[in-house]
Amino acid sequence: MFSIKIVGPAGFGIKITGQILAKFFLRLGINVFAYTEYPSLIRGGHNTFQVDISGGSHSEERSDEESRGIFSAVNSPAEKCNILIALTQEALNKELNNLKDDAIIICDESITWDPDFRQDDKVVLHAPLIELAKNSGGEVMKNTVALGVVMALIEKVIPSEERNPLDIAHKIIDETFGHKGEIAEQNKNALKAGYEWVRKNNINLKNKLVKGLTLNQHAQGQDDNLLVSGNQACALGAIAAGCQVYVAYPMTPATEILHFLEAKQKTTNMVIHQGEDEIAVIHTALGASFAGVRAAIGTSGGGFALMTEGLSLAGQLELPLVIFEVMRPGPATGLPTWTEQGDLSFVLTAGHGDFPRAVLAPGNPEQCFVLTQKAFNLADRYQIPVFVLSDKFLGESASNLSESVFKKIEKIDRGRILKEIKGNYLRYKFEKNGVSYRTIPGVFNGEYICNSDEHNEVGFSNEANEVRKKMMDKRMQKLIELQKEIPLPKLYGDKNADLTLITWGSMLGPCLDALSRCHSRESGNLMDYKKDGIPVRVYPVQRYEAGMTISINVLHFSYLYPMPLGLGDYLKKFKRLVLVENNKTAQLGKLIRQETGIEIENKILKYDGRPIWKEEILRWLSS
Amino acid sequence: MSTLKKSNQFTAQDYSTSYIPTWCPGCGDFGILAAIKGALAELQIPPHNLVIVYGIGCSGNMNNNIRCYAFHSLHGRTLPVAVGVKLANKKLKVITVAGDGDFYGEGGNHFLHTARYNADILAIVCNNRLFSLTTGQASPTSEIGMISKTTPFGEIKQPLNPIALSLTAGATFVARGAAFEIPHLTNLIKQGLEHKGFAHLDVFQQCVTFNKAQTIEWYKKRIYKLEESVHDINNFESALKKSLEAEKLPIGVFYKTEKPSYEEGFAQLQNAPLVEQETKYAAKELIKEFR
Repeated sequence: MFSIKIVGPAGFGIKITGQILAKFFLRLGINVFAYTEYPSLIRGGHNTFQVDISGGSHSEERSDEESRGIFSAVNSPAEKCNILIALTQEALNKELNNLKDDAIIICDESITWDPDFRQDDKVVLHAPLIELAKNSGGEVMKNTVALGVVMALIEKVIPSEERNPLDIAHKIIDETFGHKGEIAEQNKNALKAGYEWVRKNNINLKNKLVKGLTLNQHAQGQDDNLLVSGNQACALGAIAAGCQVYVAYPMTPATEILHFLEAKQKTTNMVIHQGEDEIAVIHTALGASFAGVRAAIGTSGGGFALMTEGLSLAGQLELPLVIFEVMRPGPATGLPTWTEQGDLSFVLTAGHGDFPRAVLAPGNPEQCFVLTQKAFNLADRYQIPVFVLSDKFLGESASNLSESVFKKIEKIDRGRILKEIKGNYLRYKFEKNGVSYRTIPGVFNGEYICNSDEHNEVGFSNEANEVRKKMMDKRMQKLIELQKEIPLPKLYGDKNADLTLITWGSMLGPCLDALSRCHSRESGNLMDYKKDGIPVRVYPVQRYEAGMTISINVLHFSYLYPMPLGLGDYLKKFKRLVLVENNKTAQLGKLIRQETGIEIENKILKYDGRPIWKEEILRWLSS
Repeated sequence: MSTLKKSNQFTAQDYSTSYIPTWCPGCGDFGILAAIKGALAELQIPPHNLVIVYGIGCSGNMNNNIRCYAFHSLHGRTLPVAVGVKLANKKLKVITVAGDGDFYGEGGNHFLHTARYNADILAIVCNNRLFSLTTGQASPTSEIGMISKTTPFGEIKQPLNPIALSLTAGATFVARGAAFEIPHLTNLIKQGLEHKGFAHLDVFQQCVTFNKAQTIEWYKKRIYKLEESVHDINNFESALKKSLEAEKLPIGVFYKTEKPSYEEGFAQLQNAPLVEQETKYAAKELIKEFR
């Protein structure tokens, strides 16, 4: 694994440079994980875009296909980077602690480097980024010049017989700036200027790069690779599920779902509505759901807080609804552009009164796509609100996945809907599984009262004690039925491992990357980094090589609520459980204790707005 | 619900349910209910193609009394629900029924914005100038000095002006009726239902139990009919001027204009309603940008 990071103030084109770089690797068939950090402002501040790549070092010798995917992929960003492009002095200063010992730093010649940091094996390339950018059309393109420098360095270690890196990059630049021809040309010139500068000065860092970057044998050049974020995959999942109305109020980090669906409405035929506030958003979606279309809403914790009365309404009316809750750190405004898994307890209990709900938490973009479709079917089949719970880290990070993922279409199941009525119709009829047949406005003699007051089977308001009890039992029966089809959490790795990382949602990536560092085919426990071509300089390696032998596996919940039947007995089979959660209070841990009585004492918790790095998990394991 | 025979003719009775209203004898809601049913019958709107979204309050309890696809929502939330219904199926006739506390208080933001969207909805506001189901508290339309349980020494806040607000927010049909003037109100409801766009109908309503100030007699001394005065309903400035009258209280249509409704603005809704269409998942086209 290898990590390249671009840093600078907002407005310096950090994101676009990073995306070009990520797509560059994508098109070489290299596994990519693109992670970005930015503050809540439009100009200034400190923005980063980190591209982690892996050539698939484990892939050949693994037998089962699934494991191959896991171990060859890069599922999370590295804590420290191999190459840093710093566009300003301030940006460089902020990153001094995030560099690997043998990192390469690319910056303008005007930027100074404190000799105190010239330790270990670091190399600083003082390139004339600004001068070359000015010659290409403007200082603003110094980011692209730096990109050219990176490409010239990387070229030495990637196979380039047929594919000239510059050609690939030029094509991406053309596509990126396609509608602004001159800008594309200037950027291509800037890229070339950086590239040529490396060649002219005979800068060759191949030996340094090869240590971490073993791409030669493994780059597969697949044509069907896509770079997709969790938010984009959720939006695609909604489209694939036949969602017809999407309603939202802009809120980071969920806004990208809204942007994507708005932009695609001519292709999809969906109606997208930006409501006046989040309270309106959920009610408008419920109105659309009542009128017969699949509807979804998206927000983050603060926006969802406003929606809770509508959530309770959905429960009472028994209307299907899918809710994307893309978490960010609270409380209140919190850290608007950062990440946390802090809303699990909130979505589990939000809304007044008892009513059934389901909470799904995808672990990566592929699961975002698959589980979003699942969410729509569950919502329709049980006539309940269903959450797709993600977060900034999952929602806004992009990783490569095969185009074939987007052909995995789950059959649309609208559940119990009557198109024609014979005899007296009872909307809230007491059915054994709690799910009554619903009608959609327009059906003759199918009229009913979709009633927020407690009601009888017709829908008429009714406060009789026996009616209330039976109606509550009917609604809650749906949760009992739903629970029967919830799968156990998914196990990755050897089931007999000494220690189990137990996690949920977006923390799948860091856990899997930690697992792949601790994995060895022969012994089933101790790792041999050199043999597998894994970077020798990953932080905890020394300690591991000093003789620690512990094998781990990962247990991941993507179905959080209701929890599956038999979970308690299942968890007891594991030798030692360690919770890995991106929040302060171990909210999954609390849920597991609530549902099974099992208390998991060991916890890796992080709540500083950043995702858990795999290195932190490895450090915990080796301490 | 009981079954109706297929017929081309709906009487006011066909819009009734078996549920007996729960209001106090003499409540203005009886008049509003009669006017709504009368207008529906006159326009021959089939109950199964009608959605009424109700708020919470005495008027919201009308949800049990009109045969249609009823949506009894939450306090203040009738309009967002109605917008959703309309986006999903523009063919349906959509009415909202809510009180003044619900509509102008809790739902004030939705009122301003739905007027601005010009969504094709008839919003009937049963305005008795106080909260009644919660046994009598001051509302956004209570007059200064009004004595209620929450204003034992008299209301000190200004009441809002629903008609002026609605006009400036962008409603394309703005009218006021009175619960005790049933034929007049029926006619206003008909006009509102036939109007394409956001129709706001504020209804003066007596509360015989809690509002001892604005009684039917009080209103009768002050109201006059706009259609019997000199007023051009297509003239915005004139409508605004009329909305500011305080001594005498005009009822009737203040303003009417033609503008595209919200649903009409969507290219994808030009022909069939959304519920009769399907979302297209053109994977190849959608994922192009991710390569």
